[in-house]
Amino acid sequence: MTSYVLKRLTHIIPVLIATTLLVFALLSLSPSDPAQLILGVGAKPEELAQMREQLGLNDPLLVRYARYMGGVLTGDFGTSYSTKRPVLEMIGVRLPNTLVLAFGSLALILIVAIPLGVALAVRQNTLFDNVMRVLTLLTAAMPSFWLGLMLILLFSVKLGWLPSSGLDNVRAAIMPLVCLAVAGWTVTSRLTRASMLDVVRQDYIRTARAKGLPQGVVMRKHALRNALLPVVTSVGLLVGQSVGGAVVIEILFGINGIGKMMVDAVRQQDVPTIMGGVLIAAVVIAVANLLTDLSYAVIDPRLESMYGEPAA
Amino acid sequence: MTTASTQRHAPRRRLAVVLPALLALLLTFATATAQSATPTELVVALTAIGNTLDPAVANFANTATAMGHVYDRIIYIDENFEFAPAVAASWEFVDATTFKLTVGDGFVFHNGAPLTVQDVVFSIERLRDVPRLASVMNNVASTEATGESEVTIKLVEPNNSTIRALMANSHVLNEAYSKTPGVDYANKPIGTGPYVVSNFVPGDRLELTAWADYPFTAPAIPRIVFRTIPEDANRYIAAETGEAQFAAISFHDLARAESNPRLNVIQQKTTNTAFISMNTQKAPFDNANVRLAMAYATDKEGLAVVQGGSTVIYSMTPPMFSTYYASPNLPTFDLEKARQLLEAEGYGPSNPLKFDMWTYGGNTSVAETYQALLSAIGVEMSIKNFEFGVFLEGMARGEYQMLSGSWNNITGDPMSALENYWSGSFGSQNISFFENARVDELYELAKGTLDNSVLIDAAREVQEIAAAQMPIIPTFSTLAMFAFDARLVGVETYPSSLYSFRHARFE
Amino acid sequence: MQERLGRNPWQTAWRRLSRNRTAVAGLFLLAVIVLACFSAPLWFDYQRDVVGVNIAQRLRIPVEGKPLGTDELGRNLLARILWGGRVSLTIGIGSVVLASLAATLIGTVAAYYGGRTDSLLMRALDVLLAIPAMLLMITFVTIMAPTQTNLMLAIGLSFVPGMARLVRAQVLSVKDLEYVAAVRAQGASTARVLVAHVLPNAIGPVIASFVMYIPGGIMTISGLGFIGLGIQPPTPEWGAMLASGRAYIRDAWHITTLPGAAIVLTIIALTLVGDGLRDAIDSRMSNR
Repeated sequence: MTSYVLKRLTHIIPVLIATTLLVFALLSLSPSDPAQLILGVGAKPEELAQMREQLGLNDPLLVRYARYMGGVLTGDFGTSYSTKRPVLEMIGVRLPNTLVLAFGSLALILIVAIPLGVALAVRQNTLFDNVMRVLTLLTAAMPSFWLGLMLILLFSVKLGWLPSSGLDNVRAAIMPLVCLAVAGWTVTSRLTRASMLDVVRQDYIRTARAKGLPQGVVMRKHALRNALLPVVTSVGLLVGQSVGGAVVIEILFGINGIGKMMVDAVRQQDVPTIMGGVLIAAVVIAVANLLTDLSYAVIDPRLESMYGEPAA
Repeated sequence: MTTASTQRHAPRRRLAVVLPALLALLLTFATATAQSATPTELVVALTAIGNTLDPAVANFANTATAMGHVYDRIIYIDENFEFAPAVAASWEFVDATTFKLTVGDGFVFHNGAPLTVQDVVFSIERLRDVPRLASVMNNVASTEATGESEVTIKLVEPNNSTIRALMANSHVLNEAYSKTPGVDYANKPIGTGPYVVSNFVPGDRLELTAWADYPFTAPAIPRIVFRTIPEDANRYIAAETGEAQFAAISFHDLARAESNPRLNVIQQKTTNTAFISMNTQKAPFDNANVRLAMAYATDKEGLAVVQGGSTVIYSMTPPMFSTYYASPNLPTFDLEKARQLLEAEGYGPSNPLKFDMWTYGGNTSVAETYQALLSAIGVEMSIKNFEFGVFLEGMARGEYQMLSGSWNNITGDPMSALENYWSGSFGSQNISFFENARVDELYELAKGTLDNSVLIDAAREVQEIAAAQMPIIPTFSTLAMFAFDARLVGVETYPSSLYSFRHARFE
Repeated sequence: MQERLGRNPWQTAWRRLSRNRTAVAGLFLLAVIVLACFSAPLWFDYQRDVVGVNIAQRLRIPVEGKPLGTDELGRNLLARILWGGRVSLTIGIGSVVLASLAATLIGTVAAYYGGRTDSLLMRALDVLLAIPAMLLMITFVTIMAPTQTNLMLAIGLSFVPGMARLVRAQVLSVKDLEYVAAVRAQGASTARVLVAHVLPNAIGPVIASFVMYIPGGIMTISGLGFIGLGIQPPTPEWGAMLASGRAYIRDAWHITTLPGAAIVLTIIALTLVGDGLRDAIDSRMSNR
């Protein structure tokens, strides 16, 4: 197990380094002048030149990147150009909200979509299956922000049941989480359904049935357990989608999260803040992927090589 | 293939039950807390909360409003823009360059330290470190304690604006605390006001708790929470559903708020002044005729309708100021005249006038309306939408061609009528970088005078020059609108667009 | 399997597609949407109807001659929705076309050459996969103006890793088929083997998957528009239209509901067509 963890870690770290280097390189193409943004109005040319030197802006890209990552490892993510606060502190304030959105919606996706997918597989080609197929087609086609607006109109304006903004309590979290989960419901329930149908055709299920085990036991003990493996592999992907989707949801519901921080930062050309946001998102996703791999190995280590790639 | 679908099993039924049950649970939970008794806390919904709590640095009405509960000011500026006692019990202009004030008794900081004259001196002198106030502080020769409870401010040269600008930023801080190394005095503030900061989440929320040891009349509301809800519609919904007891709302929700029996509404006339400014140092608006054409193409009525809750204005100076003057020579909406002016300057179908207009904050409907008006006479204007901070920086540096914006005058300084066009205020008040020898002459004449009629005449002449040269087009003024719980009484609102809950309570 | 032997596989696929009623419905809906959007200049004048402000007529529905009413600046909502559709469809389809070209190149090279080339290319793509598309977009918008071309390129780039993996898997399964080996043995050049023999067989199954990326592209562009980082005014764009209509959501339902409905319909049409294509091309899937 330990060696497996180490193997996964050695895979993740180069990807993280390359990812951050890519984003760092892209952001260094930003047309804004950090020295000007820091010193602000009325800075003299020599002050600007001095500030550029002080910031090390004249060094080669790799040197700047190494310095930045060195800072990151010691907890220094730089200082925001616009708020003049440490980026790490800004992230610290906002990350909990984004994590609640990302993992809350993930939980909501799994809780709803797996039973739904199983039910769909079991009732394949029934009215229920067909109705759900139409329904998921519709929900998958709805942009989360549009669904959110419609939910606000119904649950906040018309019924007055749910708050329309913030993430202060469980009630406030309901609509943002549902909006984020909808796309995942479709994908995951379809995946579960397909995977269930695949599994029930396998020989060992037939064997189990032939042995005269009750259907319920067969489905629960044998089919579901194995059918869930592709779903588990897709969890990392779902976390990535939730982190990305949270950007729009945070703007829609006025939630103070990483996504909103980054959108504000784009308008301010606040490169350190954007860099910090991408970095933290990449780490969250990498960790989620790692945990997925590990849980996968725990569920059934033998299957590791069988299902190398997630089902498309 | 079909084996699975032909048989039924127990687990499926259970699954079918789980979903509706889950939903029902959520909804029960959702409705449980909808109604409540008299609120014990006041939730205020704002468009934004800054990342710093230092009102002088933030330069943001919401920060000043919130921190007005934590800090006292040296001198208060009242609803008529008159000085009113705060920490200073009395004051006088000894001569044109000397201002003397007497500090009142009984003020205590949240850490138990009594307020001293040294704290008052510090609270003024610290403004030298605020870049925005550099030009004001350059005219402050010294601030000194000249008695047990007396402070004297000496100016470099006579200027009627300086003291007013100081007092508008005169929140009183504790010197010893602010100078303690490693203390984030701005965001863990200690003041002499009735509330202490119990929690601050930069950019998101600020929670204030009534200070138990406040030496004067204790405030009635034990807790105030300022919350950011950027979207207009959501902010009003928050007031309507009781998530917030007080919300700054937009015109779109005004009628709804007024017809809601559980809400009261305040419409406060403010010094808000919206404008279209042109950079007179940069092509194409270094040409006065092109600027005039832009003014003729401005349908102020239309822009005011799009903005909502606004009235058309004819001066950059708010009407409540003594120096207010609306020139009869201001261009009025006339697209044909605008087209002719442009044609005379060589712009036409073969050589269309092209430029960028800057705006901020995401809502571009006013800019888009103007864009459409101009496109009708062949002018190609592109909209560049910036974040407010970037917008301000670029504006101050004069990097723009045209911009659409608005400001609130919080000092009530009548000299602002001249400063808007004075070359000494480039990038600060004079955002058009307008340069005119006569205006500068009039400014010098007016700034030191104690004779009000000299000031008023100078202001009038400057605004006539502006009407002929059109560096900046005043467009409309928007009311400040608030919707709040009908049980909330005693909220004070000001034309500076600040407001206060110090004397508010729930009935 | 039998029908595949006798005919051109594309004809077979088309026959299957045309027998699939939901796919035909999707194709029809898509055709109507595309036709309506791209013929918009015939019915509407850009100056007058799309960007021309009419303040006296704002927020109304219905208005004579404007069946979908007017927006917050009195502009013709139907004209703006159709024009917005041009933007969304152009970016959505354009980004997929660009990405599929790049992905085909990368995926084929990786699969055909294998070894270090393969692992290097795939690791490089992993890097792009590690960042959610929306955050990648935000990074791009920071450094360049959100024009139609730039957004198309940026969204396309975010599609490349997923697509290239699909191509690679297909090429891997085709390149060792007997007849490919035979062609190679006859001394055909690598390029010829790839273009004439490997790709045509490998690309079929992935085309349907490529089509399935278009809805994602449209979602991304409207999401960016909604948060204000997408196509800039006055060019109408569905997400941006929704965002600016938010303030009026209670008085003028149509200006938020209708652009949203346009997105939903377009994506449903594309999904039905994509599903149909997949079923038609990949017979294994069709009875699922």
